[in-house]
Amino acid sequence: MRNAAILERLVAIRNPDGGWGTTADRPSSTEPTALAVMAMAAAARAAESTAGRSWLIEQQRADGAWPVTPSVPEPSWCTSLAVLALLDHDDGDAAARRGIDWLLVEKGIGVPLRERIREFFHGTKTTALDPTLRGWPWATGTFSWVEPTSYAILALLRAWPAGPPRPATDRIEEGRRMILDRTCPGGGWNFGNKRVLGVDMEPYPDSTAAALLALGALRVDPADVRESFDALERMLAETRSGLTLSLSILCYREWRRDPAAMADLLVADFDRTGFLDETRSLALASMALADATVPFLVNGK
Amino acid sequence: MDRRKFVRTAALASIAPVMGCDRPTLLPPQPWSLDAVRKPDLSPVAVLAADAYDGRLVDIVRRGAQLAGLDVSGKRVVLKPNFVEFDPGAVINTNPVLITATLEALRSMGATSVVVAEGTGHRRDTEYIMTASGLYDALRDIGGRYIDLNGDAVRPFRSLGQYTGLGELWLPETVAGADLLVSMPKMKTHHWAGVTLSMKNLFGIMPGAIYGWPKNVLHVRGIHQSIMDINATLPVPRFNIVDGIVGMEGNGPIQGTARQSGVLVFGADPVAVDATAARLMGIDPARVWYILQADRFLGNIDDAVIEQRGEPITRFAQDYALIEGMQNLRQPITTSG
Repeated sequence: MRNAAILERLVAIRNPDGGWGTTADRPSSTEPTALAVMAMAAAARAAESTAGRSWLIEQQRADGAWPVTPSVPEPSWCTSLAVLALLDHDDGDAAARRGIDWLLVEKGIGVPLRERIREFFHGTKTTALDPTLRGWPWATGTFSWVEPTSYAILALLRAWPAGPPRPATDRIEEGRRMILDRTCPGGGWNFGNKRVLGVDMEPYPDSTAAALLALGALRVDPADVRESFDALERMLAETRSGLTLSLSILCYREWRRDPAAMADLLVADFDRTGFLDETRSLALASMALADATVPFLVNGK
Repeated sequence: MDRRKFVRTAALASIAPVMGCDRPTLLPPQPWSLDAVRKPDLSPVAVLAADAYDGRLVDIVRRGAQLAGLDVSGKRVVLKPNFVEFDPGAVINTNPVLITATLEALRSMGATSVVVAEGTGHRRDTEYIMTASGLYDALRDIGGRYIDLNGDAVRPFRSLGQYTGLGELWLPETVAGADLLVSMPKMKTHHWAGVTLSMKNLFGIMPGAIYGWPKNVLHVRGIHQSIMDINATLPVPRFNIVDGIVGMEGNGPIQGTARQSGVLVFGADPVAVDATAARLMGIDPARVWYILQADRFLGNIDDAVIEQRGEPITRFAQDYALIEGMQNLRQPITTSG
């Protein structure tokens, strides 16, 4: 198993409460725990994945959402990741379904009145995006961004393998259109702006891989994302990091592309930096290199 | 668009949809809590020459810190540089050589521990920014530690500024639990805030996990207002070291061009330090909205109560280029050409 060392490090930094912090020395929080639980499940580490799911279930809010961390009471973007970690497990599916209900209500805001007034008086539009398309935000009450929208789409698709009902289909479709609308000229995505004050923007590799994961799960026409795959490959030629390579491998697996070359780079990068001991990168890398299917993949293997 | 041009536009894009970026035009009535008031009677600020990023900086930083009255003996210190983005062809970031020199200088002055901490503003890929910028290797070589504030444990603090309307701010435990926070900004112009120096640099302590990438919650509430609330609320003693060896002029904080200034600015009063750095850039600090606000209760911009130590400002002062719309920030009397 090429991910053995990465997986062992992930197990080693687990907290006594069953969850994971963002790094080894931090209290458990939702994103790292959800990702690590998925990695443990893919590696058939039953004890660790069960304890991690218990930690997640304990942190769920009454409204079905998850906070970023237990000390912060607000609902958050981490809900999508908790849902992905809990779905289809006997001990977690009911909690995941409550999370899905919250995701269907959560929505990014449009362009605020202050900005629209500014644009009116200045006679210029700050961005080129379609403000009517609203996906999911990082924090409730703020703008929609590419990465949280991608994770929400994955969660909704995983919740209904035979095809989601309305209103989930409407939210997924709006999210798909939002992501495509935010595509940078030349392909790929950054956090979610393609043009600002007339200046074209360029993409980030990790954001691009996350968006392509969601669009792959939606089985969009490959022709619609050909430029974005080209952009991702260009960026990968000059980017070495556990986060970017792991998300890119998962993306390639979703699209049934061969990620073997990236897998070699990922292992080498772990030897170089240990991914800075970040749970997120360790967990994503473990999933990326796992032989089993993982919750991040809807159609891929 | 090449990589450099892209990174230069990234900062703009991060705040554009919901920026609230126009400068407030009126001084509001006093919104801050009396608990936030910390304006000293006199603010020592040291200005020292430093013409390159090399090994001599350890001694220069030690001298600057001592001139400005810094005592780190027995203290747990957090260095907060500016790593909002990375571009190998630009001068966006606090230089890693200065960061490690500061770490070594403070260790030699008796600090119990010194760590480097930042919460990058645009990208979630900390490993990439660390390794590509050279900070990873530089810290490894001296046994230094980096902490990603975007995923740090957090504690709520009642907002003592009340400029944004946010009732509380979630601050990272690494910063809130330190004995001393050293803000280490790059000396730069800023296309929305006017200048980005010690106070603006603290945007980077706000955890992305809660405030987003970009830190959208704060942009929605207004950049100037958020600067005020963060600086008013932070419950930790402060020191500030401005990297003006090579600064950025024009369309900063990312899109601007390099400007050699050959100077470092040291001081405990962030308002006095920022006012001094602004003057070094040919900018009137009283014309920068948030600095003027900060003068009301957080520190001093009046040079009559800033005790200048080290080199005279006039030796290094230059007129940094300002973009259209920021020309009104220029000092009435230019200090140099």
